Amino acid sequence: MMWLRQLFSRRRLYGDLSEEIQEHLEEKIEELVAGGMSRKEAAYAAHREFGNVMLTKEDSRKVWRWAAMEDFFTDVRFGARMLRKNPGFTVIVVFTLALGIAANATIFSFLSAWILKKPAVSDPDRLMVVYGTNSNELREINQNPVSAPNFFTWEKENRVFSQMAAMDPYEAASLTGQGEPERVSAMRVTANYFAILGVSPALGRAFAAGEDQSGSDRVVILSHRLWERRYGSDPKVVGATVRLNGESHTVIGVMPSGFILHSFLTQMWTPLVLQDAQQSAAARENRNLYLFARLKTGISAKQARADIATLGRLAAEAFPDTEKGWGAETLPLQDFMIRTYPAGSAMVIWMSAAGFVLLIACANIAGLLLARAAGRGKEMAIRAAIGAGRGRMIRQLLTEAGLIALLGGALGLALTFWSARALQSALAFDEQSQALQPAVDGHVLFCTSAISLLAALLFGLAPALQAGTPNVSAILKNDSATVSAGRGRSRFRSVLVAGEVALAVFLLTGAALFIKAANDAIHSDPGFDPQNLLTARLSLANARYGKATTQSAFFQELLEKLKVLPGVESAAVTSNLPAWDAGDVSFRLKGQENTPAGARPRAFHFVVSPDYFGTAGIALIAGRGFTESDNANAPAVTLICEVFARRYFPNGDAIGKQVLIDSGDAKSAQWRQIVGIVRSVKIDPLDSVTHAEIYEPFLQRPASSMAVMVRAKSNPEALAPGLREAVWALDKDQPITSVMSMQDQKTIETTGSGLIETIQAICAGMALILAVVGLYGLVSFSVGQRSREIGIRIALGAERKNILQLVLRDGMKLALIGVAIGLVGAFPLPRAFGSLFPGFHVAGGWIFVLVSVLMGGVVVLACYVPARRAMHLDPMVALRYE
Amino acid sequence: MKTREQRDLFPGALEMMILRTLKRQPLHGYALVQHIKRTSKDLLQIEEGSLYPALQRLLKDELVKAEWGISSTNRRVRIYKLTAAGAKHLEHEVSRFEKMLEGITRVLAPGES
Repeated sequence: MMWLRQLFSRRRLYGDLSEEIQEHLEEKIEELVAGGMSRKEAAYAAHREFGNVMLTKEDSRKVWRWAAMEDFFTDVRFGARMLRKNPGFTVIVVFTLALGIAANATIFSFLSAWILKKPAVSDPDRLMVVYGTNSNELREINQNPVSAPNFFTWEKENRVFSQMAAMDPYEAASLTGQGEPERVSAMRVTANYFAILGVSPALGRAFAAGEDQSGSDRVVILSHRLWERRYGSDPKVVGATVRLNGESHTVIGVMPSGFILHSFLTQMWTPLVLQDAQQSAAARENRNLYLFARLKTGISAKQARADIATLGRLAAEAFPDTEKGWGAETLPLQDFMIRTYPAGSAMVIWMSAAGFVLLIACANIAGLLLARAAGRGKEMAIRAAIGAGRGRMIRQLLTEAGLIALLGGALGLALTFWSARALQSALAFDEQSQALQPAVDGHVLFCTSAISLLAALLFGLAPALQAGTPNVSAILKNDSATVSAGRGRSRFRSVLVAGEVALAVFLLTGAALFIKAANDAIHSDPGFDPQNLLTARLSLANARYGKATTQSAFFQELLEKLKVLPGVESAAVTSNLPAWDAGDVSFRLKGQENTPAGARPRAFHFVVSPDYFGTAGIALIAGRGFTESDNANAPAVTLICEVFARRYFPNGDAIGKQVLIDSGDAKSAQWRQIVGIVRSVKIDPLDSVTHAEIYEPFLQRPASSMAVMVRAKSNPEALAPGLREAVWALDKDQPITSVMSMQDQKTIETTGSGLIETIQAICAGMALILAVVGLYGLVSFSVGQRSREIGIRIALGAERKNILQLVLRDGMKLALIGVAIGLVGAFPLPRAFGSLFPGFHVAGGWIFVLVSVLMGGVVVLACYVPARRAMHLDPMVALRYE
Repeated sequence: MKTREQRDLFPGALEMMILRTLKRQPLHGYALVQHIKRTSKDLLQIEEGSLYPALQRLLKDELVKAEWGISSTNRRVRIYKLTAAGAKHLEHEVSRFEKMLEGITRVLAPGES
């Protein structure tokens, strides 16, 4: 406890020491005086003998001190004083840091919650998904389901998996009985699926072996959400009977709420019944299964990939008719889901925007700290001159920078938690995003903080590096002997200002171009008119509407009923809405009859009723549209879109040509004559590129599952009850799903495009504010450094007007240089973005002009304000300054 | 200014001399340094100030203790006194120093080796 006592008794101790030394000197002087010296001489002699009193005291105190710690506290105190002395500087740097940290940490936290979080299965890294690839894939995501025959073969012949399950994610079922009939997604899985995933139900049991055999498959497992919503979390539901597609099924379990695979969302699971006999060509064409498999111990994902690729190749060789062009791949579940995730592009956009903000923040911090460093050259030189070691100076500057970093970091942290919560509530607009439980991710926070703090520390050290130049006297002389800052210093400042202008122009232009391109993509002409459209999906039960005639009869009757509803302009049915879940098919042109299945060109495929184009607002460009007489008895016809026509009939002679569309089963495939060309529609809302589309008339290819589209005179939502009644008047047990306006549909697809826009606007706003604030801070600081020069000029009789001109001219010169450099750098940006994001059409020359003018304006303002202040200062004050 | 050679005591030498001096009688700082200078016949020119950091080190290690008192010349002075630990430390240091000195002397002695 000795040290503790010492710590507290130190003041007395130091007092004792001073007094003691004083007495020592007195005693000596007295003795010398007694020996005959004059008092003055004696005092000199005593001090000479004694040595440096200050140093002695310092050395003596050092004995007692916890030196490193105390120096640190001194540094902290000094640093805090420096920060208080320059509040503007401190506030700007701290806020810049905080914003940079918060923007990135928030966005990346979401990213990690969404994508980077391990799936909720046991040992997720060793759970693989096997899928098919197609060499002619239209979409960027080339991860297709595989056929049952391939599943059987690969399950037997692979050497890398201990077990394999199959899942059909596309099934849906009508849930009737209790309450409104409802269409629910019902994933079909083999009995071993849950065992392979390593998850067990929260209530009841999983499927038992053999329950995926025909006859014993009337069992169902509910998702937690469905159980909560439809059954009020009643545990007695387990064991109860529900009606699915009109047949009774026993509920055997409820999955836990945390069991959510983002790419495979479903409301219930039923057994997937597969017959070994399903080996026909048709079965091979029916690709609807994703395969889940556990790696054998000792087998790596890479080995599995190689094995599965070989199996895919063998299948393509053995069945060229159906498998040509197809391959097989496997990825760990998480990687697979990351690649399928539809919000991926939105995330990339957000990340890029946030990245720009971080870059600007770092540039700002660097600029401000460097400018301040330049202003402190003299202080550092004085310190070096009176004996401060370089290490000691670096330590002190580090402490200062650390203080800034700490303040910025703390504020950034607070902002992150706040913005993460705000974003979280803004995002909870559908089941998929509600399933997200984003938390501020520790790693992310650490990384972004580390980046910005490192920037602060690094550039905070600049004065120390400058002070390292041995020529202390030159710096001191330079500063006191000249009117303004020395040449080297002012040149450094000029480079800094021009550099910051260039950087701000570059980054802001980049951010603005990027955000504009993303918004343009969202708002680009979709090729149809999404306003005032009500949409819904109907899937007719096969038991009742198994035949084509009953299907077409149902929908025709429904359309008749809808057309006469008050407020309805027109109504149509279509196999797909013009949206990203539209299906695609392969097709053949004349002369390509023998092209194997995998090598055929593909196009997005729509089966539509005659009024579809009018209802959706898709313009007919050439030829004719579908009519009621294009029915089952009439010649087969088709419509293509302009992209299709341009791509496959470059001579403009599409109409009258024949196309064979591989839709439905192989038997019914027939040559169809192209009778018209319509405008292309945008499939992916975040994409401005249009794809090839092909249309078939509904009466020539009826289907049981169709989307209904109603054009309303005004508010489409108001038609929803009428739509439901019209359906239920035809069949009271018919479920209707996804009743929503086309706008809502689009909003969901863009993960809330409104939200994307808001976030982008916030990012753009932050980038702008940061750039303006940073630039203003830097320029006004450097002009402020010229106060003394301005004072001298005024004292010598210079006109204030001339001085203002001088300062502004200097500022403008730097601004112009900076803008020029920035523009040269930013010039290739549109092309760079264009190649990074093929869906983007990057345009907006006005952004270059606007950003340049804005940055120039900021520089002028930042010159003007401090120059004016300096002019109104009393020249004497300005001269004494420093 | 004294030249470097004159000042160059080895580390701990000053402390050892202080302890040895205090063993004889408690003294205050000024008297202590005068005694050392006198006894060494000014061969060791000690900068008087350097005494104080050394005294602080000894105080901190509790080898000496200090009390305010009145000197023979009627001044308020801090009188330093050897503690038991100090006495022991001195003994140890002196024997160590003698060994070292002996070693150095042997090496420096002409004719041998």
